[in-house]
Amino acid sequence: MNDRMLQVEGLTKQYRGQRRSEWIRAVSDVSFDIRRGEVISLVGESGCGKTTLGRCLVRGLKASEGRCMYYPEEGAPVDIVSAGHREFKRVRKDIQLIFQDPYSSLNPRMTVFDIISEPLRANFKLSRRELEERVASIAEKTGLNPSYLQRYPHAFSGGQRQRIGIARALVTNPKLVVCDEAVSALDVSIQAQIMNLLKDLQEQLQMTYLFISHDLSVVEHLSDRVAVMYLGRIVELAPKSELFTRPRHPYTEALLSAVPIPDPDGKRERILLDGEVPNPAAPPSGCSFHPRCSYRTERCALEQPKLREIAPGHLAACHYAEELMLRSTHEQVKENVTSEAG
Amino acid sequence: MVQTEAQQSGSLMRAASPLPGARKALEVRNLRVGFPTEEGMVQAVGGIDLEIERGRTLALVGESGCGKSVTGRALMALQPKHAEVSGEIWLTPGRQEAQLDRRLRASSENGSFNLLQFKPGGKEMRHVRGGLISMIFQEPMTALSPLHTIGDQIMENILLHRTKNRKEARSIALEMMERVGIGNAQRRLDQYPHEFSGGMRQRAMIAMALSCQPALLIADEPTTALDVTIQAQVLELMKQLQHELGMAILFITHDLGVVAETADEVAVMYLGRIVERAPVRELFRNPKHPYTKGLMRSIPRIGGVGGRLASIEGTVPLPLNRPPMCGFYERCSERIEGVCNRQDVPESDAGPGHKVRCFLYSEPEKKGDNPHE
Amino acid sequence: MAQLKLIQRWQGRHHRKTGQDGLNGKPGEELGNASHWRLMLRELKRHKLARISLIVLAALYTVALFGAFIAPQGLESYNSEYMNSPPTKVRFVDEQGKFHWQPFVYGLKSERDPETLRKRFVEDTAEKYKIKLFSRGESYSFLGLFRTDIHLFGVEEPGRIFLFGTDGMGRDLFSRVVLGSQVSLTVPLVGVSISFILGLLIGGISGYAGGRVDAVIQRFIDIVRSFPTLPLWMALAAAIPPGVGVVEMFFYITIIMAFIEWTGLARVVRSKFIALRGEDYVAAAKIAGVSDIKIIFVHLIPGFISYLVVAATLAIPGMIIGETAMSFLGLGIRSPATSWGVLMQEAQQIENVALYPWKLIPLLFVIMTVLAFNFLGDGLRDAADPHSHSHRPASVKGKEKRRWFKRKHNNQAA
Repeated sequence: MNDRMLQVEGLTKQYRGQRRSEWIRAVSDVSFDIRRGEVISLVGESGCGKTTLGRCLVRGLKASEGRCMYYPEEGAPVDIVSAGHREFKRVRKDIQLIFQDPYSSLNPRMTVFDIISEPLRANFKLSRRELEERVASIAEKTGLNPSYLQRYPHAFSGGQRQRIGIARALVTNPKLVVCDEAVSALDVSIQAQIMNLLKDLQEQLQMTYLFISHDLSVVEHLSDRVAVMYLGRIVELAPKSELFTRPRHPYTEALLSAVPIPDPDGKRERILLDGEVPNPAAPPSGCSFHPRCSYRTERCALEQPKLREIAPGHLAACHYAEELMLRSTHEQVKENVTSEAG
Repeated sequence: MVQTEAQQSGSLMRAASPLPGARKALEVRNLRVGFPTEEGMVQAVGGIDLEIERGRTLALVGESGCGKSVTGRALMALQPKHAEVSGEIWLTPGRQEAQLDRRLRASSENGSFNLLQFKPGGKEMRHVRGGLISMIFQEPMTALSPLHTIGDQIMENILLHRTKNRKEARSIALEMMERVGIGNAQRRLDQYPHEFSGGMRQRAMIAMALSCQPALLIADEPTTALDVTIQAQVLELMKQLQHELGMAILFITHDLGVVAETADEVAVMYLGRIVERAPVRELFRNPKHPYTKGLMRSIPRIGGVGGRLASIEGTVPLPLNRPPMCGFYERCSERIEGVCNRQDVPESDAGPGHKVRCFLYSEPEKKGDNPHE
Repeated sequence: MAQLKLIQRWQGRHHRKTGQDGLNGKPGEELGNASHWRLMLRELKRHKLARISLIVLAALYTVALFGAFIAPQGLESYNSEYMNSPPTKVRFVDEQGKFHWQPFVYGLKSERDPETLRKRFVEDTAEKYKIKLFSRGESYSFLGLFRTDIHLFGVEEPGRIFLFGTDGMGRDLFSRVVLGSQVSLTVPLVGVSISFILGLLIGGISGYAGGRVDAVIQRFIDIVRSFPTLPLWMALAAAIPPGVGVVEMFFYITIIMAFIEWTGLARVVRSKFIALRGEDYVAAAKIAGVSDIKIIFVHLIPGFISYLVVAATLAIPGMIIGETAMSFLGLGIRSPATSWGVLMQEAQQIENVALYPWKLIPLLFVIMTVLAFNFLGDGLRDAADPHSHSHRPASVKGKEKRRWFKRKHNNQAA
């Protein structure tokens, strides 16, 4: 079938810790796939490895182990992890990254034109005119005034800068775009502008997004499928509506209940997790979430649960995924709101 | 209620006995903070009024650059030296006069004092800071000294304001640590900030801020740097401590979700002015100002309908040499040409406790009319 | 600190806003198109001390360039009649109180003090010599182009003019200060250029390669820096063969200075390299497929070159003092060739301070130059990051302002 775009298998990224003998697994043994045309999100708290995973997929970082097969529309698939320089060059223009920080991701000493055209110059041999045409066209699509292209980034506001960053990522006509917290650093009103832009561009240019975020409401708004990460592993992966209404992993349940709801009447029972995310250099035995889990049993400390299919398309890594009756408090809120409105 | 509970507990952390009838902890009148630059005055805060009652939480909401943090700092007299501050900041500690510093007692009017009459670096202000008003910050790591143990830093404040006895100070610090949910407090008191995780550091900050039973706690984006699960813990903790100690909280944030969960009243700030203030439920159910409405529509909600978000076009202008006009004029979809950009917008009533600064809800002043006649 | 960030945010905001078509986007509209160097220049122009320093330095270097023309005497000439003569007074008004448009000097008579029996000079009001512009004197080569004997100024024969007095051999001190500046002002420039290249190269390798290479280079720098400079100079100076010419001597001194100075610059380069390598825009370029070499030349070097210019400017005063110190110790330039250090060495006896204080004039020039370079470096440092502060608070004055800058700088460093 041709609807699979990227297949990640057993991807692991480890760093050497402060002590020479210590290895920190930022991403450990992650497997999932990305389908053509979808928006898949990676959510998790800081240090869960979502950014590292994203960087590995665009080869900003070299994964330590595993495979990551990219299936281009034409030609043979390429393993992003092991491909040689030449081979990877063939698909590099297809996979791009949008950064979180609209300030540090633009070189203050380059004009906007030079910033946006950089990926083009690195990947294609184009004449000056072709360059200008392509940059102007993407600038227009991302809502930048083409007459400002000779300016320097310092002349733009945060939202505008993020548009520049998006234009740079999209100028090569990529098929897969990794958005690494692309709207997290922006103010609420600007965030909405950029989210709308991303959504419009996806439809217009027929792209696939891997959306990395810690903000569940943003993720819920944009994605088709959601993967929840905890301590370097995917603990749950499901279609959005499934995940938000019927979570199968206790961590997802806690995460959902912790999100503040912008509604003073949306009172619900909150599941307060004990403690904080453990040190990835010394992960707990068994299920890495068990020290904070309220449903834990002895088995959880001994045996590491596998990510397995609980329902069609719904994967979870919990020994008791079928038995636990986990709630999504948000469903209740929604009912409250609709009943009140009606 | 609140105080009786605390008194019964008989602990060291008994809430200071309040003056009867003193409800308001803080009252701000026409506060202005300006930064002179070579191009002119940047009016970061352009005349705001605030009130917080004891035991209540006022959320000051706004986007970056709206002046909400400047306001918080001005209340503590922590503004940069060259800033120009005017207006009135009335603090009512709600304590018996005997519990106050001699200097403060001298300048009190019916148990309240105007903080702006004190020099920002003066002795009185030093008594107010940490003693009567405390502050917690977004990034606790920058607010804690890496060179001293957590215990020493909490005790420093206690020794400055409450007792001169080190032993007693330590026991208060210990109790405070337990109170904010730091387990194994005896040992952790002697640890350094880098040995604490982000959430624990914020707890330690809270312990430090509340160790002298302030009348007012200013929380400047206290959970923005934290993960959601930790944020939930810290918010819960703050609520519980407020219940126990009865202080007023000024909660500065940009996150409407956090506002809905913590605040009793909300003030929405835009370009240095408060454009709308109301009890929390009223504000979320019945927003009046176009900016508030825009904000409410532009946040993605879990369980929302999806589709496009309504966004506010444009960006926040700079409050530099601005003529008297509505700050939101340029971005407003309901602006009235020739009215909103011609004069300063007064505050008008829009329901019980609900005030809004918009000409959609008040008659513009006509030229030649004098409202005082 | 946090408040400063806040102000910077305000400033940044305004700056950013100027590029947009907002309502009040008028002031500084052109700034959006300004490159880094233009912003830096604009910022530097606002720095008063730096501006003054720049003028002072320009004047000093002009004097050094036309040294032989400006100095009334050459290096070799001396006059034993006029040993230790005080500075000649230039006059406009004569004995009778008559004003002359053309300045003149009186002749000098030497006589003995009847009490101390010391030789001293008194003005002989009977003799009057007018000061003339473009007078003829010793012949010299003008900028190495042609030989001429025209000097900027002089007096009619047999009159003498010693603006700064004379030394123990009757040489005109003004001429020697002017000619000495040629050595004292160029050694540091050449030295810094050499160390600039060394620092960029070695620091760059260290920062880019990282790992073991970095560690080895850093330890080597530690070793070089831990040498006490005085004995090192002496050792190196001792290695210079005796009897070398002035030009070679100059060359050797420069190399010695550069050998010590490059380490500081290499450190700056390395740390900036490492800091910039972690920037998101470098990661973006890498992900976009830009080659390493291109990243270095397009993103990394332009990113820190302004800081390096600052570091180099601030390194110059050290070199001036170094050259002066070497010459002072007798390790550098030797008479009759001269530099400010040589002049100060000649003035080092205590009797000079008491009896012939004008011999300390070269010291003033050293101080002035060092201060000027320091102020200029300060100005450059403040200007080096023009993106963060286009709007300086207006009412911040003096100490307050300095503190503000300092904190701002610390902020950037942090």
